[in-house]
Amino acid sequence: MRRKICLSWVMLLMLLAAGCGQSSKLNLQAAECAEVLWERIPFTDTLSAIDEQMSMVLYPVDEKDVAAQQVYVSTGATAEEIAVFEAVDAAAAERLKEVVLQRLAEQKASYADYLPVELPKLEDPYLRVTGPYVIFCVSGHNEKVSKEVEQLLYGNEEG
Amino acid sequence: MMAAKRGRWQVLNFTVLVLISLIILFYFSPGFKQELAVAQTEEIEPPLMPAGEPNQQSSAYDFHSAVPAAAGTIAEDYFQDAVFIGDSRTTGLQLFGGPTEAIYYTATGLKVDTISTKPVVASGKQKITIMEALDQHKFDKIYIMLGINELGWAYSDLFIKTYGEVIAELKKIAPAALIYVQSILPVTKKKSLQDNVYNQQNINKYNELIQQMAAEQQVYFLDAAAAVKDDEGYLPSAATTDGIHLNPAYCQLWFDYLQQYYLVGTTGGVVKDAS
Repeated sequence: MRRKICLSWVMLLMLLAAGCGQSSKLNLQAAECAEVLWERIPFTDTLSAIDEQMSMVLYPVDEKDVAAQQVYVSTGATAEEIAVFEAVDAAAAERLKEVVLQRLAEQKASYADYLPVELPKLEDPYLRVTGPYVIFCVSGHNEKVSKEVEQLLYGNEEG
Repeated sequence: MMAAKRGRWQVLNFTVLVLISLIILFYFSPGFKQELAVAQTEEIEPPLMPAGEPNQQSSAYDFHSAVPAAAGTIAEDYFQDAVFIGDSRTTGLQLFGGPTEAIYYTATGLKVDTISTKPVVASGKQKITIMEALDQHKFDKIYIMLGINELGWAYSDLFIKTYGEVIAELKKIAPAALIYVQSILPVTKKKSLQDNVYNQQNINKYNELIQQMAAEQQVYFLDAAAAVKDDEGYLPSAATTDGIHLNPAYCQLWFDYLQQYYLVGTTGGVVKDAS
């Protein structure tokens, strides 16, 4: 009996530890993440932040799915773009991902005729869905983007 | 009895005199004048369109000239029944400070021929062409800017013929709408000197054709290029990263211009200030 109780305690502690670890890992602010990428990724064009109303034009997401979002767009000179969403839950994040993929498909179709030199960036964008977060960046610098996102997601992890 | 009557007359005269004096004093007091001035600037009646339906020929309006500056800046609600049609530069206007209540039918790389063939406007779960969208939704004002993507066409007369057909179709779809055909915005001097296609010489040539076409179609030519060009007629290098697309600050200048150069049709707007 005592052995069973000890075992239960150990399992409970393990679950609590896992829970704490998970919460500390995924603690991202959409605006902060987008701003960090905007500052540190060497984009060709000058990207500008747009408000939520304008973001909805480019990414027509269901508002109920979104807890926070931040989008930066190019002047039109390039296909470069940053979009970071925090969904209300993982299922909503999957729906947001679909909207991002739709935007990507539209951009590919537009730039194929208009500015084919931008196509490689669109063919290989950075897109990551982690927990409730959807992080999308068209830059041609995926390694650097990945490094920054990793740092933001796990950089402040304690213990 | 006579003395009492005279006394009443004197009191009456005195009262009238005091009242007149008070009215004069009140009228010439600075506070009164200020209130009057504020009322005048806040509620100026917008300048009226030439008589008749907006698209119909009017002897009062010279369609060969660009839309002149209005008496004051029009409030943003003027654009709530407007649609903006254009390429990626007009998308820039939408994203970076254009009127938020307007509708935008724009697409990267849009041209005078693809406006009728390229499905770019969301309609439910599908996409339809801009012309199809205009058929479904009516607007009182139509702003259109096309031409930069057609600079490479072998025949400029084919461009202007097709553009003229687009405008004729717009008039057919929206016979009462104010149709503004905007001039093509300039490119930077650096871009112009380096590019055989996207250069200022070609843009100026196309803009002349566009102004002439607008006059023939009896629609309003709006010289939006004037909003952003420098003394030499180029887009300043501070306005752009690629020599073509405007940054947010210059999109704002473009919108400022639209708020100062307008005509008022059946649906007007409130002029915010008198210039």
